[in-house]
Amino acid sequence: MTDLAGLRLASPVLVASGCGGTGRELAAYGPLAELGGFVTRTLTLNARPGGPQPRILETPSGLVHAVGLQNPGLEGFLATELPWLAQQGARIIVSIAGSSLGEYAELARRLGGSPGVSAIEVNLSSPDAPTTGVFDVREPFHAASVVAAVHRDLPRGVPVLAKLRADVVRVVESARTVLDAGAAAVVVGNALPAAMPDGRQAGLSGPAILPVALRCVADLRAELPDAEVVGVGGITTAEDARSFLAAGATAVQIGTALLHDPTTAARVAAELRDGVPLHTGTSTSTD
Amino acid sequence: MTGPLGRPFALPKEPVSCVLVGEGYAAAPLFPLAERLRERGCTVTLVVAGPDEAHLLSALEARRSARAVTVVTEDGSVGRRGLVADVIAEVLTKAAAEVVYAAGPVPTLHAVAAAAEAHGAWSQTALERPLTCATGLCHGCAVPVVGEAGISRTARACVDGPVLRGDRVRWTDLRTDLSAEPEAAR
Ligand SMILES: Cc1cc2nc3c(=O)[nH]c(=O)nc-3n(C[C@H](O)[C@H](O)[C@H](O)COP(=O)(O)O)c2cc1C
Repeated sequence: MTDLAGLRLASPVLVASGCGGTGRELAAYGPLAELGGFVTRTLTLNARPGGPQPRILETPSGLVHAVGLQNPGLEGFLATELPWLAQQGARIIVSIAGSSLGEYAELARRLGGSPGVSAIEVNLSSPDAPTTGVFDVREPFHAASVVAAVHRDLPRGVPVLAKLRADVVRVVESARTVLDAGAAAVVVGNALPAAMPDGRQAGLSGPAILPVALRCVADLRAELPDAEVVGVGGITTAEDARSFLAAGATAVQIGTALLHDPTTAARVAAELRDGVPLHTGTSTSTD
Repeated sequence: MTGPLGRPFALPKEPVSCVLVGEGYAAAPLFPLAERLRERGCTVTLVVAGPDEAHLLSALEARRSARAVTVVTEDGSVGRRGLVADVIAEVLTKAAAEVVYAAGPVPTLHAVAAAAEAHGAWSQTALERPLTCATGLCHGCAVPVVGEAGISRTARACVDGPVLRGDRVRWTDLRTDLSAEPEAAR
């Protein structure tokens, strides 16, 4: 069991936003309820068709992607995806982005009152944000106003997780600001800002970015020892997850690795729970 | 290993007249499809196309699995010279086609779907898209489609396809979308 932001999770392993489909596709490879949580792809108030092709390309040890926040919008999600996820007994964390503070507040109000929603993850770090038209939160002050607006409109007991960029230089300052504004935990981090070969704004994720995300988690632990941190970036194995937990993360999320092997999250969760023989052949267990 | 993934060609319940159109290497799955259709008593007409003779899947095998075969090459090195789009209407009429199956590049699928619609036949098109995860998780292989009640939406080639009804794909939007991707748009 893992305690995060006042929630009790079945595992410290969660599915990262945008990498678990609607949940149905992933559930074919293992029960969602056995994971620490399912973070939805980022939802916006109105449905979005997403960006042009190509959307995702392989890079050495990673993926570069510009999906453009394709999602069914709040209504579509509430009508079709949320009830199904809730039925699975999954711990549901809804990722949101808005084009204005008003939109963020409305998303928070509607989602916070919906049965089955455990927490809201505010996506403050979309690597292609300027092209997707979401509220510009590159300044920590603006990120903090978003967190405050969402926090204010959520019922007690539904915490705000603030998803930040794994920007080693600014992550401590950003985390401090959003935690002061009411975030219960920070998620570090999103795909690193990158570009498609044709120059379009994109994000880089996968094993290539793990050491950067890990550094951010370690810096946060050192500078903000009381902050709850969720580590995400390039995690593929239980060993990777253990590095993040050892560096001070309370929980981890797995994204890109699922696109290569959809059983990754279930496998890492089971390995952390039961302890399994590592390369050495000896059995280890974690608490 | 995981599979099979996605949705295959749907087979007709009745023994109907079927036209199968394949361009380039994408024509390969049409041969086993032709076998299964014939087992069901369907009449099978094949159109095999490619840029030239060297890039044409076995016309011989095609003749074994179909009643009538039309070969089309862009350079005219074998069969008729031209594109699938140039011959498809005539083939559909001659075969009195009720169902059309197609596999190949998007412009060809578009032409086949349009001809099928004009002819009053069902079409099933196998889209070839780069699939990142192939399991429906990543939303990388988006295809613009018309959903129930005529609402525009986005399907995923990997889980909702790769075979989609030709009258459901928003071909013009798809081709605009692919224009940044020279290889697939061809
Ligand atoms: C295809 C794809 C789509 C993503 N969509 C979202 C999204 O909608 N919202 C979000 O906050 N992060 C999104 N991400 C970022 C991931 O949640 C994660 O933060 C990042 O990829 C780093 O972790 P990873 O290396 O394990 O993937 C996406 C990543 C990928 C690869």
